[in-house]
Formats: sequence, C-alpha cells, structure tokens
Amino acid sequence: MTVDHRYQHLQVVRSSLATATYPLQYLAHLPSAISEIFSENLASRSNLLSDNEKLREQALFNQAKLQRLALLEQENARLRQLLGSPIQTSNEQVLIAEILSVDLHPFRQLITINKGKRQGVYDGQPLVAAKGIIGQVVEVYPMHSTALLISDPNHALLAETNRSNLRALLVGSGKTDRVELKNVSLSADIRIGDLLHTSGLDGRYPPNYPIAEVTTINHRPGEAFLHVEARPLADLDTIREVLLLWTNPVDDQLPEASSQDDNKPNSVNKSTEPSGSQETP
Amino acid sequence: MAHKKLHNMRKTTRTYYVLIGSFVIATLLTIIPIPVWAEPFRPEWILLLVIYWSMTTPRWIGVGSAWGLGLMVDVLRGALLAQHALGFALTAFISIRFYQRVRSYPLHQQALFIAMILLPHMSVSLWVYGVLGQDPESWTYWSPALTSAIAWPWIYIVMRAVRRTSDLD
Repeated sequence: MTVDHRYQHLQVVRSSLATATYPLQYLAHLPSAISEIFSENLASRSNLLSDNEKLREQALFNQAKLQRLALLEQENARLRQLLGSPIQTSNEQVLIAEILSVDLHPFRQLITINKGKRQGVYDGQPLVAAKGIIGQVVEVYPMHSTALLISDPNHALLAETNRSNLRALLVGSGKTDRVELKNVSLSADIRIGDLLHTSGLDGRYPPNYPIAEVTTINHRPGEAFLHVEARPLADLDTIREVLLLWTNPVDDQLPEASSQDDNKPNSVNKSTEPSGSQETP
Repeated sequence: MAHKKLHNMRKTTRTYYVLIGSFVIATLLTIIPIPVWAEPFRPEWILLLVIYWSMTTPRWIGVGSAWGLGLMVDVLRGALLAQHALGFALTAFISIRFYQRVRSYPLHQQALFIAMILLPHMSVSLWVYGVLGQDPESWTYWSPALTSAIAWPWIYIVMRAVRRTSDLD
C-alpha cells in the first residue's frame, strides 16, 4: 500500500487490472445508455422540431456572443501590447468524453470517462462541462480514465472572484451541490452571488473558466476566517458528457513582469475582467 | 473409469463458470448506479459472495482468491492497491476458520455473524482512509455491515438454489 501511495511502480498492475474490469464497468453502464438511446429514438416529431428550433436560437445567441468575445480578445491583446506585457495565447483543444454511469465510491466523488491514454488524456487534465469546470483526471488507463470532481473533499483549486479578483482556495465538501472557500479573511470583499472562476495559478486549470457561485457567507464568532460556501455551476450529479481540455502551457514570464512596475500587471488584470465576465453568462 | 473422469472434468468447468458468473453479477451490483442517498448503504456484494463461497466450498475460494478480488475492488474504487484486498483476505480467513460452526446456525444468526465479520474489514479500510486523510466523517460508513447482514439470507437462499441445480464440485 505504501509503495502504491508513494511510488509509481505499481502503475502497471493497476492499469492492467483496471483495463480488465473496464468491460464490467461498461456493462453496468449499458442499461442507462440503452434507455437514453431509446428516449432519443422514440422522441416525437414535434419535440424534435421544437428542440431543433431552440438549439438554432441558442446557436445564434452564442454566435453573437462569440463575435463580441473575439472583439474583446483583440482589444485585450492590443492593450496588453501597449502595456508591453506578454500576450497569453490560449490555444485550447477539446474532446468530448462520455461519463459512464457507474458508482465508484460512496465517500469520494469519482467519475469514469470513456477516453483514455489512447486519446491522449493525461494525468491532471481539466474537465469542463457546459456551465463550468467540473474536475480533473486522476488516473489514466489505456481505454478509460477516472476523474476527481471539484466537490470531492480532497480536491482543491485556486479560485478567483469575478467582481473583486479575490483569490482563495476552493475545496470540495463531499456533497455535489456545495464547495467551500477556505481562509477568506473577515475584511475580504466578497458577496453572495459572486461568481468564482479559475485563476490559472494552480498550474492545473486554465484561467477564466467559471466554477461556482457564492451562496452563503457566515461568520462564526471566534473564528478567524469567513465561512463561505458556493454552488458549482455545472450540475455535477446529472452531467452525461464532459469536455477534456488541452491547453498550451501558458508562458508565465514572471521575471519580466516583476522587472516592470508592479502596478502594471494588476491594471492589465482589471482590463481583462470584462472579457472574463462576458464568457460566463 | 474414463467416463467418470470426464464427468468430473465437466463438473469442474461448470463450477468455474458458476463462480465467475456469480462474481461478475456481484461486481455489477457493486458499481451499478443507485440514487445518491442510497449509495453509502450499498451492501458489500462481492465480499458477501466471498464469504459464501469460502464457507461452502473452501477448496475453491480461499484467502488467496479473496485477496485477488480485493485488488479488483481497489482498482474499481480508485483506492490504494491492497486496501480492500487486506480486508477481504482477513474476512475470508475468519469465515474459513468458523464455517463449520456457522453453517449450522439458523439464517438470522448467520446474518448477525456476517455483520460481525465485516467489521474487521471495514476497520482496516477505515484505518487506511484515515492515514491518507480521506476520512468518511460520517456514521453511515458503517452501514454496509448492517445492509450486508440484511442481504445475507437472500444471497444464501439464492446461491444454495444455484449450487443445487447446477450440481457443483
């Protein structure tokens, strides 16, 4: 057990055992997959038509938003150029993965997805759903992989509020509809309804992806920090499909930034803020 | 003579099939999705089968195969390798130790016994979780012992029927 915990030697054993049990997992997943296929195939014509119309409208909206986003990105790049700070290129690639509907562990928030090493999945890869970040890959096998949701008590990431750029550690609670912000000082500028997005500083998640919305802020007398809870934007227990993200390593040219005025990176941050909030609605 | 040998061989392969089939079903029951509130109460199907087989046919399922099945559960649950294997082997050992006595108990007393011998396995597992800092932090952690005890009589009855109809080794 110690060897497994500390070293990589047993990875082969684990990987081969996992591949051997993958058919079983797939078998357990089949009933729900079949019922989904049936409900798709047996949908009525009028339903399909209305769905189609809705999706077309949505596509139109999204396209309009994207136009603005492209404009803002350009403007952002120009402003950054003016300030002489490096432009963050975000060449992102995505791949859709399906979540197998199997329960792995009663006390941990793990999911199995049907993409593995063969499709280029790597350890620590971020997963995104339609509404926000949902977790990261923790085990990669040849055909499938296991991912940890952000609501797992052992998961933490560095989040940032949209409104005040306050950074704090976002830790899972064990419940799929709740995550907690740790070590928020009493005087911190945080309100109910604040949107949290990834800061990109944890080295795992790319910056500016929405995660959660602050739902409660409590101060328990005698405690040094605020007790802040948030609700993940993605419905962690009902999602079926997720996006695997490949991001080019963002060149963090810290030495350059620190050689300039300390204020400059900050002001750049503020100018990017609108673009961040445009992405989220 | 040759006929008898052939018959025995068939019996052996049949036993293999039944064993593997039963464990496949138990694994499916272990990972099949159920409502979130019911998740902590899921009986330990695989372990129950290990106990059953090690009680009825100790020459087929023993400590070694329990260890192997435990490794499989480790991988399925994303736990440390050998975390469940240790508990499974321990449970198999206890049930082999006591099977002659327990087999003659009435079913409800057997169920109690099951709840008792699940506790060492769960304690070992909890200990490993504690060392890793993955404490379940809830009393529901112990509920599989109870639900497994409730599930035991049904497993016993079903498996006895299977064993009799398929005429195993």
